Amino acid sequence: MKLLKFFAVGILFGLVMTKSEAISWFRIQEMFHFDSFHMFGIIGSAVVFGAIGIYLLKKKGVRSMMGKPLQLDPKKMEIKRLLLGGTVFGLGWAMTGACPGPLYVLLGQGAGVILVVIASAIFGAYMYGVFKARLPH
Amino acid sequence: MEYSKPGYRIDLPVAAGRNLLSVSCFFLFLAGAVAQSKTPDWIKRIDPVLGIQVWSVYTVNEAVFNRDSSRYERIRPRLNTIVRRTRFGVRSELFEGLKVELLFGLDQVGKEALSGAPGSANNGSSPVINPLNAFVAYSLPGCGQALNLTAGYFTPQFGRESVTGSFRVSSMEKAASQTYMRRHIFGPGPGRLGGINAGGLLLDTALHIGCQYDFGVFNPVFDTYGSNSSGDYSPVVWVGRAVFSIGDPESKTYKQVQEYNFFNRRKGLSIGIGLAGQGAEAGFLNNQAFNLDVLINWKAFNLAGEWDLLKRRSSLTDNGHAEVRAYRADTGCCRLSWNFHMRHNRFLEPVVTAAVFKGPMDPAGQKTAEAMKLASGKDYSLEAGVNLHLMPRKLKVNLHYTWRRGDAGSAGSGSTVNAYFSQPEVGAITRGNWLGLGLLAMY
Repeated sequence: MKLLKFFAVGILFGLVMTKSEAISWFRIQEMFHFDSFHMFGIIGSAVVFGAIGIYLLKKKGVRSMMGKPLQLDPKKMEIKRLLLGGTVFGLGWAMTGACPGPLYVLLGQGAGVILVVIASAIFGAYMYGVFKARLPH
Repeated sequence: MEYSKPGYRIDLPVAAGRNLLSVSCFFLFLAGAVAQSKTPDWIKRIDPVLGIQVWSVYTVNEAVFNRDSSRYERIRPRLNTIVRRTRFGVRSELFEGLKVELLFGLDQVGKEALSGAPGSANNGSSPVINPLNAFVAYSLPGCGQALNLTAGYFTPQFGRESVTGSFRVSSMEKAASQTYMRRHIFGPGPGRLGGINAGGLLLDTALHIGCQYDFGVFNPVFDTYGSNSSGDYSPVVWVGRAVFSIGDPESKTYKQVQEYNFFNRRKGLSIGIGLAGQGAEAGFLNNQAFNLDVLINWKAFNLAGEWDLLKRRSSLTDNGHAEVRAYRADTGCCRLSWNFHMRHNRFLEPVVTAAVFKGPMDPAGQKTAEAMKLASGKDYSLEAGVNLHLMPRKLKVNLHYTWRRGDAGSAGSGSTVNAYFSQPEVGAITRGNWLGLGLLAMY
């Protein structure tokens, strides 16, 4: 029962992702070709509402599902890290047409082939852990 | 061609009146809320924005085209008093890093159609109020000035003249080059679009160098404007700009509205480069603009220059045959001024501004421009005058004279190929020279 609210939020997230078409490979390609404002609008709206949401979470002292205070430390502005990491992330995003959130939504919709992408993403995260010390931070 | 089609405005006077009432109610509510003893912090942080620019304009040498006689007929010189711009709105930092701005404008009130001042009149029983800015700006935590996101309705960062505040330019009016550029790449003359922008300022205080970058994507929703049409396809208008500065930076914080005059406090050079484009849609195959600008402030000396290259390709049908045609035009401006520092921190600023637009002049090129609903021919203006800054950035009076010339190319007399040869309420015209006396107050 304790996890029910998180389950509900997950379902809502999946619905929003699906109805907004943010899980569509075609929408992602359209975005990278500057062919439509659709995805830029979704991302821009998410950033603004996310900022307000984080502010409210901090102000209200909301705790994590483990009951611990939220730790939302600002990331450092490191150009090399962001450029390199952003480029690698963008390449994967353009090829697969999905970022981490939609991967699970697509799996939930029964797109079994997305398991290959999920496995690749997990492998990529693992490799980052292996090479972390040698990468620019 | 109509250069000041008021499609984006709330056209009905009734709606305008309702808008004015709503805005007034909002401010009354705000004043009441602030007056409360337990006022929330975010309301306390609200800053009102108020500004007004009033002109007296004396026009000479203007001529209206008479279709019956096929000749331009000189009209009598005339004096006209105009509320050129009014700005009112609010800015606030809702919480650390998140700012909002709402700004409205009431412009061109009292302008006579045959006045030499640029733009169309905003008269009638109830002049219309235009929304100018409505955006949220978020400064990402931990990034200093390096990364800021803006979302809403605002001016895309392209071209120094376009991103310099209309109350901050030293000439009487902003250069016409910005209007040609905005019409070409953004659509609406006021130059605002709905979209998102990522930008930041990177400064190296030891080396005295800096860079402000911006990249934004905007939604071309203005179906009825100039030449931009959403149609079946609606590719984003993408806009990128980078400004490199040497010496004193223009600002130590990231800003979207730039300035021209720093009142003897800056010794620096800024060079900006901009690119903007849009893919295929109903009106064209692609649309592009390239910009290069420079700003030099060396104590009392100020120099700004800008050049815009405007290009478009469309598939046009001629005698039943579809054919891809290209359009190219150049526009730009240059402004030079000197600040004389007077007693009581007042400044006297003589200033000269030149602006030029050069589009196709040959019959085929002008036919292509007309089919694309774009300007052609030549339009020149030269403005000389003096500003007396009674309170720098807040209160000034100015007296300027503007010469205007144009060349319609092969289109000849009676054509409306560019802003020199057209006036929305009149039609074909050759715009006159004008002497302007202005008062500008901004708080």
